Amino acid sequence: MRSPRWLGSCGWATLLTLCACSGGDGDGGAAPVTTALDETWLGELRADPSRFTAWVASDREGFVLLQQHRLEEAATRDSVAGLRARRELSALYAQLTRLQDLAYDGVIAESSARNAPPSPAFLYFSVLAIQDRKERERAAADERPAEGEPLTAAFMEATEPVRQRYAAHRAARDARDVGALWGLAATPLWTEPLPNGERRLYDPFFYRTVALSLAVDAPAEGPEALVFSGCLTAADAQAEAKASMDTPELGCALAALARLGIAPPPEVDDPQSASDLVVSLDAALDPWTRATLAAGDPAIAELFGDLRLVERTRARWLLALARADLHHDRPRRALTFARLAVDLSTPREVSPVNHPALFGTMAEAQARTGYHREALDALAPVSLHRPDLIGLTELLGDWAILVGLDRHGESKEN
Amino acid sequence: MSSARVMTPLLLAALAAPALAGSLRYAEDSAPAIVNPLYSTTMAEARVNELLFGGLYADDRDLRATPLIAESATLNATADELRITVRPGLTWHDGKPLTARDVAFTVETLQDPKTLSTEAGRVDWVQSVSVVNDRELVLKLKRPDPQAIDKLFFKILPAHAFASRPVTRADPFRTKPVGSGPYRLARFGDDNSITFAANPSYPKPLGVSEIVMREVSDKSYQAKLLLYESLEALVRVLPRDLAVLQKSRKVELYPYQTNSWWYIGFNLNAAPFDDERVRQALACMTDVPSLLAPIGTGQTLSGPFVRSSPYYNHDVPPWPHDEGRAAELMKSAGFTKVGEYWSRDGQALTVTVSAHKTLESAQEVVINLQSQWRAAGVKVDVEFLDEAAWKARIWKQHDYDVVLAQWSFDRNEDVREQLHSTGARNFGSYKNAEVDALLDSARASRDPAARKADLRKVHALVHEDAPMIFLWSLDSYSAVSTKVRDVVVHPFAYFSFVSDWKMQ
Repeated sequence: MRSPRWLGSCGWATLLTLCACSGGDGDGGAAPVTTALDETWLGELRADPSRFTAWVASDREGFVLLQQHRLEEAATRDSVAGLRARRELSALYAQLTRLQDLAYDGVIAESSARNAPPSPAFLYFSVLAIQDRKERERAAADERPAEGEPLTAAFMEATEPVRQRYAAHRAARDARDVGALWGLAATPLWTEPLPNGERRLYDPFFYRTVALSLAVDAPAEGPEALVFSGCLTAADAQAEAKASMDTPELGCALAALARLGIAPPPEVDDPQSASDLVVSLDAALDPWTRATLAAGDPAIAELFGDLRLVERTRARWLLALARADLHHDRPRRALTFARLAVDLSTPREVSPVNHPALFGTMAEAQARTGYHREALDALAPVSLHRPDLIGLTELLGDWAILVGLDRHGESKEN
Repeated sequence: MSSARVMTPLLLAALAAPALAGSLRYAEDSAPAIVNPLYSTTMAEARVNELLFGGLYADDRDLRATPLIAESATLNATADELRITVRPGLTWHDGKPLTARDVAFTVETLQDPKTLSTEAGRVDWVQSVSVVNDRELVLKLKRPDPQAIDKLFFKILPAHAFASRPVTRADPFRTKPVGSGPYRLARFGDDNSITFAANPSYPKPLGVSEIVMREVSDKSYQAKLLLYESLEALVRVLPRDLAVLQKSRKVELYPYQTNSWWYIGFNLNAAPFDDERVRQALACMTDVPSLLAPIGTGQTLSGPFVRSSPYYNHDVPPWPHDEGRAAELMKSAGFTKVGEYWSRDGQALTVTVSAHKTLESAQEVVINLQSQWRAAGVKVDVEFLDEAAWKARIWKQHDYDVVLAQWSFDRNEDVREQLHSTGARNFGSYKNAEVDALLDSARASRDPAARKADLRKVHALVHEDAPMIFLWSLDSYSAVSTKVRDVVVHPFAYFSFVSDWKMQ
């Protein structure tokens, strides 16, 4: 394997081990090669691959981590790469927070519908989660809590461990430093014995704290803000820096579609419209990628073959469209966009193409359309490697169990 | 129902014939052995049943129970009586009216012990059934159940279409099925294909006029046939073909049948597999990651659930590949190494591994397993059984040592039938009173945390007892041509929403 010059001695072996080589077989069609990407950072690299080394020179290690989506490690870096990782991690945990809120609501609703009353401890934790959400909503709206509101009263009666934990969260949010809370998230905050085990309830505040603590503005200028992102140009990135964290990189994705001559998706929850858009997108991108690789330049091959820059950028656009669909209550199409973004050479792994938020997005879309058990499966590539997600997966598991509580389970061979 | 393991140019050419307009061709590893929901035991059969038959209730697109054959189902105040009204104007594929009597016939037939239905558990909550008139019937429940409507998913069968009572597996219905589903059986082909034609009486118009099930037993050809546009759908893609199909841009891939796991199952009625030390020793002789690597990507398992399951016990690691530990276990079970092989009472330990002929990639796994166990001192014979032999030898006669097989579950992941001593799918005769009690407790519990605790303990106990060596769950996807639009794949039954699919 060639030594990628842009990385120098910093982490290249690890990086290239993780990078799958693209086969580039494509569909063999003779679609015209677009020039729409020529005036973008991808086009600049195709024209002069040596620029890459300069673009990532400020923190090569940080960019390696960012490229591999090792976001927690990248987030510790004092660099543009670190800043970008913190923003991405914040958006990921904001999504996990939404999923947790959804699951608490879902468990309570399903328990009531199925005559399966939740335990007092669970009810108490769900009240805490709802209260925390309301407090954040009030803070965002600059409102004061109403005196004597039942949820507030319940919150004030918190048991001491919970009270202490919440105080730690408030401090973390004020200081914008998650600190020791990372290590506590995988340990139950509450346990009680059951005949054959124990009920374990986990910190209901954690994901929100991470989302709030790591929220930062995106860097708007320079190639360091562009490389590995879904923003094709500096102008796109500047617009994106001011955009909502609820729909990360949506503006850049729509700008990219426009550049490629592809109409934005209609505002309907129609999965087929996502499939059709992706067919058009691939028809535009594949010839450009093939033509780029056909040049035979080893440096270009490293960037566009080994690092799969185009596939990675494509995945980011689709992720942005999926997140926007979730934000606008179009979960079925969100699922389709996210599903079509996943690189199936490593279908159950976070990888340079598979952003962890892809799996979170699929999980949220599944949970919102009745596919609760499937949501757990979608989240597994992330949750099985992140101990702090145990609280969320236990909660989603409870929801999935309740939904199927009265069904006759089916099993077959093969 | 044999099939060509090696695909001949002739067969390739035949399959390459263009589909009829509006025709969707999908591949199965093995054609269903029987088309009768009373006796279906395989996923291929379940998929065909979904095309041909309907239930009183079915999943809607959000997987909520919604009336299908039923117009309504109403519980009485004490929740022990369910009054069902059948939708008016429904007919069977042969034009005869579908009535409440058909529903009653189905329940009674499932319950009749002489039927020997593998699906009897679906109506074990019903005490009795009485027909009020052609459109109404009443189910008396064994005990109050406010959520009984959630159990009305079993397929309804036409009373007039069965030749005799009690119904038997050999009833001619198996080859001349009559249903009420979106498709009717048009013909069986000489190549084991089955053609289904759109049911003109179905309440909604269908966007696919014909569905053809092709048996393609050599899985490595299935992806090629899809790429050559000789198929429009592959039910399950080999993990190693996923990236290739994705790059083709001609197909979309959908996660499907993700609650499936492979296992090596022991016949606990056959010595020495009745000794858990021998089973554990064989588990320690098995290098599971090395068995998995040649067939694709997936996750190794330590118990009867996939890793994303709420019931999976993450505190239980898989058996280690540890020949030293295996040797200790074999010695404690009375075996000694004589020459190359472990022997007891002068007999070398000999194991016959049986696998279903069409279990995807089973041949590679069995050959590698044979090699591993032989290297560890066990003589291994292998056999590949066709569907009929599998059902007879494994399910009915329990005439085997060890099977390599796969179970697939819907989202409830109910392993009771496999692991309870009375389970209909427990053909290995596993019996552990504590596991039985935990499975009963889990089924009765309405507290998710308690159910998780019960089943995680089951996981730990079953792992230790080792009636099976739990192997892996594969990365499991279905592939459908982009020519088919508005595709939604049901996570278990596959074709539940086929009435929405359209051919471009």
